[in-house]
Amino acid sequence: MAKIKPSFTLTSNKSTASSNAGPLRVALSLSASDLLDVDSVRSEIVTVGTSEAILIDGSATNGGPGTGGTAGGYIWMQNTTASGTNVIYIGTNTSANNAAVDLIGSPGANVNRLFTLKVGEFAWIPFDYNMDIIVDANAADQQLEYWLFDRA
Amino acid sequence: MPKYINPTLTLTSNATSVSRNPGPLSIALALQVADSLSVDLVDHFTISAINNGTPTWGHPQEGSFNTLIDGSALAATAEATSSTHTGCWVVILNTTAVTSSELVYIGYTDDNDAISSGQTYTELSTSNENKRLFSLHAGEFAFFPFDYTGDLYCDASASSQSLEFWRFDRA
Repeated sequence: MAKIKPSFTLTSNKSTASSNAGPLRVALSLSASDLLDVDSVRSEIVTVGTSEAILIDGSATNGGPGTGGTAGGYIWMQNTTASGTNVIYIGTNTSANNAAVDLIGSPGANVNRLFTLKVGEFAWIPFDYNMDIIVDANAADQQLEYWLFDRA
Repeated sequence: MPKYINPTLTLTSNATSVSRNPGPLSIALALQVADSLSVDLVDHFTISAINNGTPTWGHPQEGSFNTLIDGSALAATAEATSSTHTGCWVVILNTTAVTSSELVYIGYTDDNDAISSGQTYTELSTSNENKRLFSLHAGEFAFFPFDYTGDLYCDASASSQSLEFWRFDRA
């Protein structure tokens, strides 16, 4: 069975540090790693604009939704736009809807937006194929790289 | 003065031809990304036994409750417009002993689904449940931003499943 090994660290300096001070009085060092069983791999670099689009159709991906921990995959996602202050929005929609929805709006007006990625920001998130992943941006020509590793 | 956290994520896999821990591709894979993120407030807690009955609104440290982030309660720092990007960063780890074959579930739902004491969320153990964003086996983890646009909550497939939660509020 094929395996991937994700490793995550998060560090911060003490709040009293003279450069790159952290948010806490103490330095922080979190780490986690795992060895995950996967099969298929999908990767793409997509251009995201102000028109929302479905990035991953849960119901049409690797057999679609099912039992938790069995159906689903792991997503690596990064805003790889070269520079600028614009952002990419990542949202969800119930898979049955199969429709992209606008992700730009206030929190009360738009519950479909899960998070925002500024230039260089990234996420590592398992995904159960029970929803669709939607992308949107606040400007044209933003670039998103993603990798989807299907759970074996 | 701005405060920073420094997350780094690497992902490696061997070529599929190797005998020990073969990867999914014919070539070895080595991805790495790092960033420096400006944050202010830090919220951290552990749950030693996730309530695996009906998921209930409320802070897990205060009883058998399942809310990880109540978006509306944090609306003061939420992303209000497309040009104001606050929100937070979330780290979730399933800290249950790796001998467990049970699951921790993370759900994402409309903030109005549960907003006060006694209100409940949708159970996440059901197959195809579209409130279930993801599942974590023991040892698995997630790191992602969150815009406070709804609630994040947890559930589990059995009793005695544990998790660790960190929230770093975007500055």
